[in-house]
Amino acid sequence: MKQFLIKITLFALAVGLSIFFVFSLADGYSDALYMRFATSQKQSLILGTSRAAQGLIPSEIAKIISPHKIMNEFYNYGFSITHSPWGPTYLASIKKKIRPATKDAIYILAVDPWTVSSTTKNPNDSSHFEELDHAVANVPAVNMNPNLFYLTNYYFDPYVFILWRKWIHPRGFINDDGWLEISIEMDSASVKEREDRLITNYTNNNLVRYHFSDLRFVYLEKTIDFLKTHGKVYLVRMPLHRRMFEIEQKLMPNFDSLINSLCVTKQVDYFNYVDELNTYKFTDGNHLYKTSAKKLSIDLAKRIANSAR
Amino acid sequence: MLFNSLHFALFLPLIFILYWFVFNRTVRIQNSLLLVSSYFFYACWDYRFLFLLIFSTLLDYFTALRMKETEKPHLRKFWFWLSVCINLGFLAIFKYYNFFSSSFAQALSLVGIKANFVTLSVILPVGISFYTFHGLSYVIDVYKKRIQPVSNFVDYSVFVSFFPLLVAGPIERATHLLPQIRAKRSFDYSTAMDGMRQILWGLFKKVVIADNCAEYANTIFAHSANFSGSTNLLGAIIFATQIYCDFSGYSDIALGTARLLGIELLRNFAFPYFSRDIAEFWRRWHISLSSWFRDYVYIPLGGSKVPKWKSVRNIFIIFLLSGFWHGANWTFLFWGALNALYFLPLLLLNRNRNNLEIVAQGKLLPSIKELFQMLTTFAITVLAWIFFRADNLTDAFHYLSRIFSRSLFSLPQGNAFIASFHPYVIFLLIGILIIVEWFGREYKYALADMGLVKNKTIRYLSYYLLAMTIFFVGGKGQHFIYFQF
Repeated sequence: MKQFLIKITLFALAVGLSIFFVFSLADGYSDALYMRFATSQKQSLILGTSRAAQGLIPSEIAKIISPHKIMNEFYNYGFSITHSPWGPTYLASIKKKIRPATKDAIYILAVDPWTVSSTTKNPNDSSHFEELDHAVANVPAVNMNPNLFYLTNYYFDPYVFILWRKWIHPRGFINDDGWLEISIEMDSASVKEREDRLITNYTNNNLVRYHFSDLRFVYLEKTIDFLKTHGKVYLVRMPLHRRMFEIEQKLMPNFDSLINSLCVTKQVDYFNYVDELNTYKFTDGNHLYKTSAKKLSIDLAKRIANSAR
Repeated sequence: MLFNSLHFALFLPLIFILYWFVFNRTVRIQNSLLLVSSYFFYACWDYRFLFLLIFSTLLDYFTALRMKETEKPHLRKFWFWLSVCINLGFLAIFKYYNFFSSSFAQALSLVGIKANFVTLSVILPVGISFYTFHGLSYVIDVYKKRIQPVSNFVDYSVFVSFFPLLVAGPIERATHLLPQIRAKRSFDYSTAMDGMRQILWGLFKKVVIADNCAEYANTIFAHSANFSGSTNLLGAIIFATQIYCDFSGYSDIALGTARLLGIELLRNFAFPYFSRDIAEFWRRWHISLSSWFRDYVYIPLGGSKVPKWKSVRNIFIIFLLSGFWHGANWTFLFWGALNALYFLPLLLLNRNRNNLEIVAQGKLLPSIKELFQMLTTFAITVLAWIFFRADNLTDAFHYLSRIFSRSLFSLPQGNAFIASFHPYVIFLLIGILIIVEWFGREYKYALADMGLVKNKTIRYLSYYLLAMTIFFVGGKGQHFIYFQF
């Protein structure tokens, strides 16, 4: 028995250490979410869904707003529409990601009609919100590296990809500042194909499934209130393709006026980019291409800097 | 709690330690631990159905004791049929009620009668087919006076609900397992090492091969209309690989786990895809179920020692029952019937017991004839699996018609194989599986001879590489296919 236990323990140790070693190599290439849960707590954040994750570059914004102060502390903590619409789950996760003693930080919240809508039968039924099944709701620590809980429960690819993707890079990569950089074919035919697929999906599926949620809107307010205790809050509506804008208008024609009123009440600035349809390039009509992300980030940073004066 | 989950990886060592170090004073204490841990294991699936399992256990336990106590044949018969009817009744309600009611309604509608039966929206209790058959084997054996009923309730309960076999078998026999449960067990180093090896190999088959194959098979079967004949054929072959690795992998883990606890379970698979005819295949595939039907249905019906037409009837009965055991769907019945048809020529020509020994025993490679026989048997098995996998008979026939179309001679389509890994990686792993299984075919499981490798470094390096492959190349976690039965 003793011999068996020693051998099994040594074997389990060798296997366990190897696994831990590979887990510790997980990085921004491993998947599109992991690093959000494996970086330290931050002071300033960019928040929202995949539009924000791909479209706003914290390091670019930081260079203009405050080149010395928050360079390493400005992080893109945006996920996707299924993970991070405004609500109790995202707010709880944001609270975990912000360094408690933070003051005078900057928070950029990307808003659009989908982020205040829900797919549940009753749009205010928070017990069935879609994000509850995802990592944002269930990963207990968001600043642990390696994040064993995330890797064992929410890393859906075979683990060999943690190593593989270090050499053969995937299309998506999370930079050190949290920006999700996507490298993708941008020839007109590929872009058109992705646009068509996305528009069809949003028209046939999402437009039918999503309904405005008062509760999500309340949580947007609560998020703003919480963030204001740590610094200055800015709301931004990301630019998007005309066809996509038309769909959003069908979902919530009064979205902008609602946000404008909210901004007045909460005394925060709102930067609306939906009218600048032709200024930016999209990968699929919904997400900005990386060159446009840089352009938008610089522009937004300048506007923020101007508004602060 | 899946065998390939982190929960089980924590559960098993804990039980192992408690079993051999804390509760090791008497068999009774060890069995109590096994019972509690088995019920906990089952409750992790759905604690509500634990009561059904306990009720079924109590029923068989008490009816068996009543049978022993009474000498009157009619009373013995009464207790026997009470147990059989209630056990099968549960199975009928939970597994077959909706099938029968909807099929009956459809049949009535053919003659113009509109019937609307109530359908039950109950989920199938996991493992019900397995533990019901455990219980039935015990009650039948007691009734036939092959064994004495057990007076200790804990012992009997462990026999029914021993966690390694509880949810997907192997289907044990009272004559085989109960004596082991009642006897004192002592730790044996080589048995435990063998158990660990079998668990490792089972995990490789399930996590690496079956789960990765599942990604392809699911895509191809779900969108078969969009794919060519060759792609659909490849999909069927991949499914055949998946179901073998899924189920035999599960069985290997179950057998290995039981060995760690000093208990030897019935062998469930013996390299079935190396069979030279369908009769051999059925002696090697899901052996515990095939032998259950053989002993409790086929032989009581007269087996093959009756006029030819009756043996044909008996063969059809057991294959149809076997199909129906898998699920309440016409596809399973058709699958059973098809296998009976495959079996028929062998039975009529008295060649169903031709290939009793291991193929190419003692040789490195099979002869051309043996290879041809193995490939032919595999091919007809693959065709039968299409009915097993399809959602309904129409889908199955459509799938078959797509295979046997002109596009069978085109190259398989790449868009059917968009998954975690490039198909070449999976084919390479399947190749490794075939080689290891071929060279291990004379043993209880493929990796058993690894223990004979004298060089420790090579041996442990192989285990380490296998463990790393399981962890790093394992596919997206899929449920074991046989959990649904």
